[in-house]
Amino acid sequence: MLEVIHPGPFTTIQDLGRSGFQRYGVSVTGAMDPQASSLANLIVGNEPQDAVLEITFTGAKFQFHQPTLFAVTGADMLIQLDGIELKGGRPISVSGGEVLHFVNLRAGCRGYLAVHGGLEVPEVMGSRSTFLRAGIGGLEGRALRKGDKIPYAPCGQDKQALADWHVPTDLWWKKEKVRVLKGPEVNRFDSEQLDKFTSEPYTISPQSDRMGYRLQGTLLKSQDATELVSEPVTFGTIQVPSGGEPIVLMADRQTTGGYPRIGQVIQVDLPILAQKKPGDRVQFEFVSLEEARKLAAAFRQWQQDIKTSIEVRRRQDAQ
Amino acid sequence: MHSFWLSETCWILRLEEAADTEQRLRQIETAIQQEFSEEIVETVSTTQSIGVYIKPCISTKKLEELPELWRQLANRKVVEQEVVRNVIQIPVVYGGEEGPDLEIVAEHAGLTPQEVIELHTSVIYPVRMIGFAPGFPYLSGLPEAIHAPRKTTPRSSIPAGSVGIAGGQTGVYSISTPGGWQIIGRTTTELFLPDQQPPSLAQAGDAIQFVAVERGEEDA
Repeated sequence: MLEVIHPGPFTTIQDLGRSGFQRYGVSVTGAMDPQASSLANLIVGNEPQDAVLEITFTGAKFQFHQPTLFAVTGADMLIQLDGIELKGGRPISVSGGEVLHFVNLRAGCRGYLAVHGGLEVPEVMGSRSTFLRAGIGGLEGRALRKGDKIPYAPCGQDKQALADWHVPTDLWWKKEKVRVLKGPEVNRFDSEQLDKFTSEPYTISPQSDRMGYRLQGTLLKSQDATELVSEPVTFGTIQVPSGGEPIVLMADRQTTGGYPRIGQVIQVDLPILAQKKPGDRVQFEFVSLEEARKLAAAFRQWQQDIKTSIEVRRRQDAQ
Repeated sequence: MHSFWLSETCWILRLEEAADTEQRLRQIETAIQQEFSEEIVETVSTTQSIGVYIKPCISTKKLEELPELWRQLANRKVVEQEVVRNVIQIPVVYGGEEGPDLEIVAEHAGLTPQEVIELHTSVIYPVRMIGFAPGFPYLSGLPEAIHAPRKTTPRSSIPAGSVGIAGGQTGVYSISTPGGWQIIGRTTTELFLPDQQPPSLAQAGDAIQFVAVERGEEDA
């Protein structure tokens, strides 16, 4: 069992999302940086979709009450186990009683904590992800509070040993440039507007959360004000309401939307946004669908290679 | 008919608005679900479109081939079927604390609150789609006399069960959420059922009828 000594500003349980229920208006949710959550799971020998903690900003403190193996990925954070600094991206074993503290944030926004076997909260509609607005999933459908106790299966490794290997955890998100596909309503914006969209950086506004990021910067004027009928929207869809401030839909996005969609953040660049916090900047660049798919395929291959090498290392560690 | 990729793995098909759009969409969606269950994660339909989410592991070559197959499928003749709707009755306490904007809607319409209630309960509304929030039904057929503009400033929180009007649409807030619809009443009927399959009381294709009740009589 993992006890919450201090939840930090915002910590929830997430997996890779609740798919199959969007037709009923149920948001997919899931980790904002699915690459990081998958990697944390792989490091401790889990499946990529197992439930992890998503820790926003810093200050969170947890106590392990049973032996397990854990890993931290995602944002670049200073973490301490019983006051001793640790590096992320590697498996760390605990025997029970240790306190893990997310001391401060150097870069990024969200850290992921995976424990061997995954966090054992009940599945709701096939997923353990917290869907905050609907109050379902995760722990009682809410963000974690002080004193919460999250079950996990003790894994029996009682030796306090540090593995001598680690995987890089920041290769895919420490960037400012975010590549986007042209959106279905891109033609509502003239070339001057589109130049502005891609030439000037946008700042993540404080009114940003897991549902969407509001962007501050050049306001975009649509040349066609006809009302749109609601259509599906997805993770990374960039909408422009009449006020002109773009909104990027994130993990807790609604299933459908009625604002003009100027662009769509490509899959491999979603973690760049997920790791931005209010005040950070992004710069958009249009790419083709063909290019986006090539990048996605290359990324899947890279993930597969990492998975294979982690498995090899874990087998060596076990010997 | 118009189709495009929203993302690397989400494809959207949009139909022109026509008398048989609703039926056509249902048939296309069912066919895609049945014939392509290996390739897709899920489908989402709206009043005029279908979004198809494809498994990320599907090869690029296959991804490029699928839209043509789906367009062919969409061009199949619509099977004429009598539309049989499952009608869901929803008891509503109109006005007062439950419907703080009933007076506003009445004033806008030049009617009495009682006349607004009578008009709102006089129609069986087809459920065109579920979206915006879990279990939130988009209903068509609101009598024109009681169309009403959205609030200029949305409320920061609207209680679950609130029945609202926005322009020519009416619907029920299935969960507590911010929103800008004019709230004319409230129901104790739960529309989002996370422990049931399906988790939504109403499905696209069903119909909803509102029934006016007094406070305390909701479950009678």
